Amino acid sequence: MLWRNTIQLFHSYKKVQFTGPFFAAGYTNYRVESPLSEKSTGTPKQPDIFACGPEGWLAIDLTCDDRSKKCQLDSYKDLDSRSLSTYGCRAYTTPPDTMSSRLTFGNDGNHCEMVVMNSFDLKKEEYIQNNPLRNALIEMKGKNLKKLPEIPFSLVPEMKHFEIRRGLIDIVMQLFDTKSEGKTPYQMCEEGLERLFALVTATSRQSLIDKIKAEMDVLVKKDLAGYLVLKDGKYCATEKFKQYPKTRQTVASKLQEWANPTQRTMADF
Amino acid sequence: MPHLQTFAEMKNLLQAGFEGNEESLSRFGATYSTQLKAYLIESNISLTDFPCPDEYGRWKKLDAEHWHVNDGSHSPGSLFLDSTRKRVWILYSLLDANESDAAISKWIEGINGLDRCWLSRNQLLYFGQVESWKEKGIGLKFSDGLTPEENAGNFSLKAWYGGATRQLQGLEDVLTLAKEKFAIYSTRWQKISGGSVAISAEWYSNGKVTINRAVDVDEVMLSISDIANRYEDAILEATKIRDNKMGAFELDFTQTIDLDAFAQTVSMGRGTMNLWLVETESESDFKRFRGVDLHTWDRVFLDVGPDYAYLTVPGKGCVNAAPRIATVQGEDNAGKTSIYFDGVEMFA
Repeated sequence: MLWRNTIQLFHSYKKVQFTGPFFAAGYTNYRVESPLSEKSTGTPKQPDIFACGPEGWLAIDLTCDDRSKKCQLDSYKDLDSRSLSTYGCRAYTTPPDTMSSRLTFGNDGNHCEMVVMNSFDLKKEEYIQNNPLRNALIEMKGKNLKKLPEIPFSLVPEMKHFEIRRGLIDIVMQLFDTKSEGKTPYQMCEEGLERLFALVTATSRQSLIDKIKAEMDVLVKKDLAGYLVLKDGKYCATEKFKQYPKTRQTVASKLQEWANPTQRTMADF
Repeated sequence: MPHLQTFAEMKNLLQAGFEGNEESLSRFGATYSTQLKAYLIESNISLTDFPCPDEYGRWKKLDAEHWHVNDGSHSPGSLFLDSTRKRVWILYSLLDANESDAAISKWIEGINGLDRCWLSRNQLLYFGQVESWKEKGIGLKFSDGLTPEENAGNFSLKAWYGGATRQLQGLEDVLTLAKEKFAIYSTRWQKISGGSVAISAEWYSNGKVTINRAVDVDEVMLSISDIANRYEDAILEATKIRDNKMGAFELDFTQTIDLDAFAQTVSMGRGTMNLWLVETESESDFKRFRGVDLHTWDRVFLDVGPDYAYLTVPGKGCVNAAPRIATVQGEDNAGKTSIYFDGVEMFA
């Protein structure tokens, strides 16, 4: 939700008349987890998101952690805007605006903080230097974020338990394609992380693969026992699965229960 | 059918077909040769060692680059493939309509990486902006596929326009109103040149065109390649968006859909939509789904409201899912459907 609701602030949706504040302020060119260099030392720094606007640029860190992001955000003020040229963006004369994106407010020092839980909230907006951006963010306060679209990556390394399962649903469903050769946990990790795959560290990647194995183990041994097996390191569908609507419904229902047992229980009553 | 060797022979054959039909039309008031059909094929694969539709032999290269003809014992010289464009091929067919449709459908379904080009309303109405073309008919469709058959409020209409349309007061208004509410699945066009009909063609939302009458083969091929070019441009633009942005394609419907019936249908991967999805979040007026598009087995995320949906195509999944889902769902249950990205209409 944190990533989804933050990314969608860079977009606009016509039918529900939603215009994200970054889109409204012209910050439509954004990148995720891409390194930039620090001015004095050339040290690479990697804001979770950076974006380029008409008259300014922006670095955002996303976190579910209670700990302050102050030091990290302070360090982004020293980013060299000339390194933006690596991504086809122009250089700016001013340092980037910096902000955190959270599900509940933290204390990130002299940096703007936004909360993107179910509705948008903002504090310390006075630290945003770019006027159109500040105004667009203020305008966004109180707006509903619950029905924004999903984003392409379904896994991030910090995810746990049911979040991992939910992120794997469609990847598991592809195993039931008669032409599927099965998937290893590594492949599943690669597909779930999507464009983030090349950007996360090998340690985070391995930790995510271990978590995928643990969750898939439950699916293979319990929820979809008989339909899925682990064979030669790959998860594969068995011949028990037939391309019949009833069978698909059974598998869909089991996957739903595996990934979101609470919702399933509530829906049943 | 002859065993063709050259591109010129192919064009001569098509030209002779048009001329034969024009002659029989003037003499007997009807055409007797098979009408030329073309199918726009969305391709994600390269044309190497590539099978022909079943039973129609193999592809043989013509002397023009990227052009192939079917060669074999059964109906040789009746299928021609133009693979000039990387993402959109044109398959011309001189087979009988039913035989042709069945063979091409089976061919597309049997090869991973091929799909139809699903023409949007604006693409179907494109010739309206081009000089000398006149809209001569329209087909509308609403199957109400999420409602049980006995209660389905389905609608279908096929109208051919001529001077008579104006003789019935209010008819034009009805057609305009119906066009705004329901999905267009076909349009009929005439190109007038020197006061007479140069081309009469019917385009379908599944990327097929039937040439009912024509005078000149070059003119016909140009008009078809014009739509293929536009479709390819749209696909390339959508692919660029998929790779560089993380927003969703927005599908805007004119009909309200029953979300529970939608959830039930997609959980089984049933119906013309061919989507097999698991519901992951639910509110009375909004549901989130993720799963696979059974046409390609690509992953898709679909967030659905009463009269809109957001489509996200993760990884390298084919963006042709956007026009396909818009077209199929529009004709099945959602009415007139438009695709947007960041508020700008796509596949327009």
